[in-house]
Parts: sequence; structure tokens; C-alpha cells
Amino acid sequence: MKIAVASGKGGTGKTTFSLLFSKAIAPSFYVDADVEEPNGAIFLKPTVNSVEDFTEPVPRIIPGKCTYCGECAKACPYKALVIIPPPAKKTLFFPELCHSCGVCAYVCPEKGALIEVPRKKGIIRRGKSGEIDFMEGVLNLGEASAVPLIRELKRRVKNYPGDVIIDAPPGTSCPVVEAVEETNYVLLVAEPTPFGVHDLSLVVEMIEMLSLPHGIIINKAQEGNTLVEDFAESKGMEILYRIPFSEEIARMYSRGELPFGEFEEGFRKVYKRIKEIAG
Amino acid sequence: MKIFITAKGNAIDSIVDPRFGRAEYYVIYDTETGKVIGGKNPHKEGRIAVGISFAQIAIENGVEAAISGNFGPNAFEVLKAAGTKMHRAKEGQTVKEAVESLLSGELEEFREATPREVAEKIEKELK
Ligand code: SF4
Ligand code: SF4
Repeated sequence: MKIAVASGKGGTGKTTFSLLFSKAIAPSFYVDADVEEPNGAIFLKPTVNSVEDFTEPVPRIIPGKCTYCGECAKACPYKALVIIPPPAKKTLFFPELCHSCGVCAYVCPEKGALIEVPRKKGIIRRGKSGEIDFMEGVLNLGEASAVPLIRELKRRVKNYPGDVIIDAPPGTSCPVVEAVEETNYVLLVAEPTPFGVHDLSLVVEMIEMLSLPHGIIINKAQEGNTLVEDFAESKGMEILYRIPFSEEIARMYSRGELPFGEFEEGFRKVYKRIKEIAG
Repeated sequence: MKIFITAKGNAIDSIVDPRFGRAEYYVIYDTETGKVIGGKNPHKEGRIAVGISFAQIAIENGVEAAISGNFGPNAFEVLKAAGTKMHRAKEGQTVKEAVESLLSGELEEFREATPREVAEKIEKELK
């Protein structure tokens, strides 16, 4: 099964629970798809056994062949190219704006004037920690889109026979959609505050649009506080786990550690339930 | 020589707009013919590459100099590549006054772009 762990914003405990969950159901595969700020490795401390460049094709204009006609720049949907006609005869490329869509190469009328060359946009790291397989994508700072890298991570685990936990980026943007798409189940982590419920409602809207089965884990659950429960009931959603605030977790987290083992039984129950619904 | 000026309106007596990419209007003044053309900045509300797109209007019109309050990094790079000299208008100047100051050599030339943070701050203050 592929299970994505998502949340309306960062700092809700998404990575913590992704890891505790991966551990509880090990052997499993933990994929850190929060490529703009991956931090799962800090806690999992895997032995890394491969680091690869993640590249995508970007245009390179060959001075002797280009006629400075400007077609490529006109067609670029992201304005990543600027052609300055004669007498200046200059070409400018803004890599941080380029989405590697290939349109420029397609429209260039001069043979060999615009070629595509690979450009490093991040890295993919793989490793292992005990019975947990590990993979993370790290996007270079300032890159235009996280989507292609996340797509590549998912392509690589597509045929993995066991259970895969995908730690999705926070929020509701395109990268999040890419991370949760085609998973069997989405676990949403939320905190019981008005803001927390608001953020949660936004993710739920997105997940509903994608028609994916989903349920909630409440982090820092408090006796008598039913904010998340009320929202879940109004949406007909299930709450799979309530994790009370624990100073122990907070203290360990700040040291880069997690209470592996402590929540194993709880997460195994969550797993069993997900399996009944989506498996 | 044609000069490209960012402005709050499209006329010669409009006040210079201190932003480049997100300026309201532009005015192009031809010092030889005295001709003035002006237009709305079509990229003002754009989401991406506003500075680049706006700078291209200047280039397409074959200007040799530009006047604004600031030039962001991307716009700066594009104008520089095109050989357009960039100048800082004095505060509160009209297009006409800024052009006169430029012609008498009183305007400071930009040697580097306005850092993105500064440009964003100016943008916020004007909103
Ligand atoms: S690949 Fe696409 S985004 Fe990149 S420069 Fe070419 S047209 Fe623009
Ligand atoms: S379309 Fe091709 S020939 Fe025309 S400016 Fe671009 S690279 Fe040069």
C-alpha cells in the first residue's frame, strides 16, 4: 500500500508521525517528498548508500547558429528566455524560471540553434535504517517547481512490493497534489486549534477533489477539546489516532530523536484500519 | 536617443514611478523628435517575470536609456545585456524633469540591481 501523510501547514508533526508509522509497520519504505525542506533523515539517521543528481533538460542557445529571431522567448510560457536582437545579439536564460517544458526547443526554426542540456535541480538520496528503506529528494534552493522531483521519487517506488509511507510537503499546492496522487490513503495530521482546523479544511477540500480515502491523526489532542472532532463529523471523516501533547516527544524532537517504539501499537492499529478501508 | 521612463501616468508631466517591473505606466521620450509615447504596464499584475517582461517592452522600442527609482535583478540583467543605461530619478520628479536631469548629466547611473528584498519593500510601501 502507498500511504501519504499530509498536513495543512508545516510543524504539525507530519514528519514525526510518518516516521513513527514507518517504524511501526516495518519492513517499510519511508519517502521524504517534502523536497523543499526534507528533514526525515535527521530523525531516521539512515545509512546512505546512494546519492544521485536529479536533472532536467534546459535550453542552451548556440551563438553561431541562432539568428536571434526571438521565437523561443515569445513561446516560453514562463518567460525564462530573453532574446535581444541585433545589434546587441544577446540571449539570456533565467534558470530559476524554467520549468523544462521543452517548448523553446520545439519552436526554434533554426536547426541546432537551441539544444537541450541537463541541469541539476536537486539530488535523490537513498539508504536504509534497520528495516526501513529510505529515500529523499532535496530540491535546490530557488528552483521553479518541486513537482518533477516528487514525480521522480514516486516513479521509483511505484513497483515496491511492500508498504510505502510518503511524507508529503505541507499545504495545498501542486507539489502536495503530486505527492498524494495515486496513493491508497492519505493520513492528515492536524492540531486542535482554530487555525489548525482551518488549515485542515483546506487540505480536506483538496483531497476530496482527488477522491482519495483519508482520515485524521490529531496531534496534541486535549481532553475536552473537540475542534477537530466536530469538523471531522461534519465531513463524515474518521479520526484514526489521538496523540496527546507530550513533553517527552518535544524534548526528543529538539535533539533530533524520536520515541520510536512508544507509539508502535497505536500506529499498528491505524495501519490495520487503513488496510480495512483501502487495502 | 529614446528614453524609457516608469511613471504614474502616461504623459510627460506624470510623476516617475519608483518601481520598475510593477510600475503603473511607462513613457518613452525621443530626444530627437520630441515625440512621447506612453502606455499602461501590461505586466503590472503578472505573477512571474514581471521585470523581465517589462524590460522587453523597452528593448522592443529600441531605447538607449531607462529611468526609474529601482531596477530588480532580472530587469537589470536584461537591460544591461541590451546596452540600455539605467538611471535613478530624483524623488518626486516628473518624467520631463527626470529627462532634463538625465540630459544634463545629473542622474546617478545604476551600477547594480536593487536587491530583491529592497524592491519588495518598496512595492509593499506603495500598496
Ligand atoms: S524549457 Fe520551457 S520554461 Fe524552459 S526556457 Fe524553454 S520554453 Fe521556457
Ligand atoms: S528560436 Fe532559435 S534561432 Fe530564434 S532566437 Fe531562439 S534559439 Fe535563436
